Amino acid sequence: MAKYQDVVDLIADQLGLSADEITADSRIVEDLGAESADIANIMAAAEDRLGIKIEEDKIQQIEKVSDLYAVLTLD
Amino acid sequence: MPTQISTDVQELAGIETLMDMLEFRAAKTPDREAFWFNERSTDFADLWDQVCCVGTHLQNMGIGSGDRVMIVFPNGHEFFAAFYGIQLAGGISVPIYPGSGIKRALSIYTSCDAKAIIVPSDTPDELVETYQAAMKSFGGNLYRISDCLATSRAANFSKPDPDDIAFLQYTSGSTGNSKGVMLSHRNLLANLRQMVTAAEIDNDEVIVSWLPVYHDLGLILMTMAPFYTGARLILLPTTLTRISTWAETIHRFKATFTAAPDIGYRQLVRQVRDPSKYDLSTLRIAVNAAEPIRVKTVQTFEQMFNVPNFTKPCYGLAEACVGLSFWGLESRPIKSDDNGNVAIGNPLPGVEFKIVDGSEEVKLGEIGEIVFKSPSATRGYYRNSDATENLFWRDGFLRTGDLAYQDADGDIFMVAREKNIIKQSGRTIAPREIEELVEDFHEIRNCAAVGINRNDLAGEQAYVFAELRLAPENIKLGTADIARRIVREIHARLGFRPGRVYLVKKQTVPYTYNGKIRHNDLKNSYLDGTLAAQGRLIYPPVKVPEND
Repeated sequence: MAKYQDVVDLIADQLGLSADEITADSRIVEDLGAESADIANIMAAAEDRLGIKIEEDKIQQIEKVSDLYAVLTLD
Repeated sequence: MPTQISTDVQELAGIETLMDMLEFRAAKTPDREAFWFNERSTDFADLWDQVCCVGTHLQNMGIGSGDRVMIVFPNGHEFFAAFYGIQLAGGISVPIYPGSGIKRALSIYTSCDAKAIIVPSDTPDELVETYQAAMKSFGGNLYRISDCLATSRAANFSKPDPDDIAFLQYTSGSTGNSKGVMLSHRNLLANLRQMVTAAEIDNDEVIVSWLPVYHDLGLILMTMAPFYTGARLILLPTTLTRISTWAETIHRFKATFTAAPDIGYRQLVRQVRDPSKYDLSTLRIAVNAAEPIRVKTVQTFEQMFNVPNFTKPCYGLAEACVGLSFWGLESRPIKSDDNGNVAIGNPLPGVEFKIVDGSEEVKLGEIGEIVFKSPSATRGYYRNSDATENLFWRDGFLRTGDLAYQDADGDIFMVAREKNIIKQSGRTIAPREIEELVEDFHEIRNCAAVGINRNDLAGEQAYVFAELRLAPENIKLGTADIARRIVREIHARLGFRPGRVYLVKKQTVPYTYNGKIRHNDLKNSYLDGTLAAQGRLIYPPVKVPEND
């Protein structure tokens, strides 16, 4: 199971942000500036770093950082 | 006093083999220094004597015409006696990188069906025994060079013909796919004359080299050319503990000629704190070759050491012995295009280039594969007819696998090798674009970028492997910050974010002998989990499967 801070670190690393720029409510595309390849790379990084594979059909449900955390925690 | 000599073009023109060359030097300039290494000189008479002893020993041991003998030597006094002694006995030298693992060494040994191996005097007994045990199943003998040198020299040798193969130049690569480029005495003499003529190397030259003596640039340009012309060779180990030793040695010997791949100059400008300690103004030529040349390296090097326009880009490859082009002697800055590609200079005398796509030449300005014709060109790869067949384009031209284009002035610019190009989200990215930018971070020592395709939505993505300058325990705080700044910088400057940025341990990025990054080997060792298993990936953390 992922810790919230792991998810923040992962997004920060992929998008080149500092952790304090990211909140649970940040929208990954609109607020954090991720492009579609970045989202796929975040999923790949989640698999490599946390050992959690996110099915591609779940990606639609992920808008905010909290959504990603939820997906990673539930699985 | 060393013999006063003047290079006699006519006399040199009569030389047809490397044996003629060494014998000529021993006769004409016996007490002139052939090379200097580790505070000790060997003159041409001694060098020839050593070559004859090794030749005699091998002849006595039954080595004869066309027999392959592998040699595993670092830069130093013993390499040359072994390398040329084999040829004097009529054999073919097979020099390999002394750091090659025994597995690679034996794979080359068997692929060329070698008859013997010669190793340095100080090779530990255990290593000799390991080799001998491994060689048992293949046959052949192992000799320490000290045993060869203890033999008293014979009077007669069955000297090679100009068209005999002098040595097999194994191109670097991972185990199993190395190819032995066949180079004849005629090829080598042709290339020496091309380079000596273009760069006007004569017997007054003082050459400083730390490049590997067992491979193309370090062997042919940096050691054979001075033997040919009678120039002074100051040889350094390839494993310089401090790159500043290079600058120090140029200063100390008032060197006029040196060469290195771009990475050598990059390290020099990064590591030397006080360039005013070294006077490099005696240099006439600083060859930058064997690796893509970076404009910024050249500019920094020339400014820092106040050596304007000393840098001479060159292009070449193992299949042409070594050199094919040279920037020229006139004082002019290197020429680069908007993408940072650097012009390779003029073809050496007798070299012809074409830029082709498939079987046709491309139009001026278009990118294609560069093919060449030269008297220095190999006849092919030893016992590898498939690879040899692929090497030849048509009309006697050989393929290089390198991409280039020609501008309106006729200058040829190399662009990144096709196989390393990263195609990310519809863009075409040369690894160098990323690598240069990342190496500007003072925390980063080296960097390599490769394309990784995980077959997910993203498709191929650039994965960046940046070597940290310091040990990770000294920068525990802040690795995440460095990685994130790298992503930000790539995004700001190149307009995309890489698939991953890994901060890795020193010496994770693999290089060829000549300082080219082995992108494919890096990619494979990442994909098969070797990098993670060896603990080379420092940040971000990787989850290693628990059942493994």
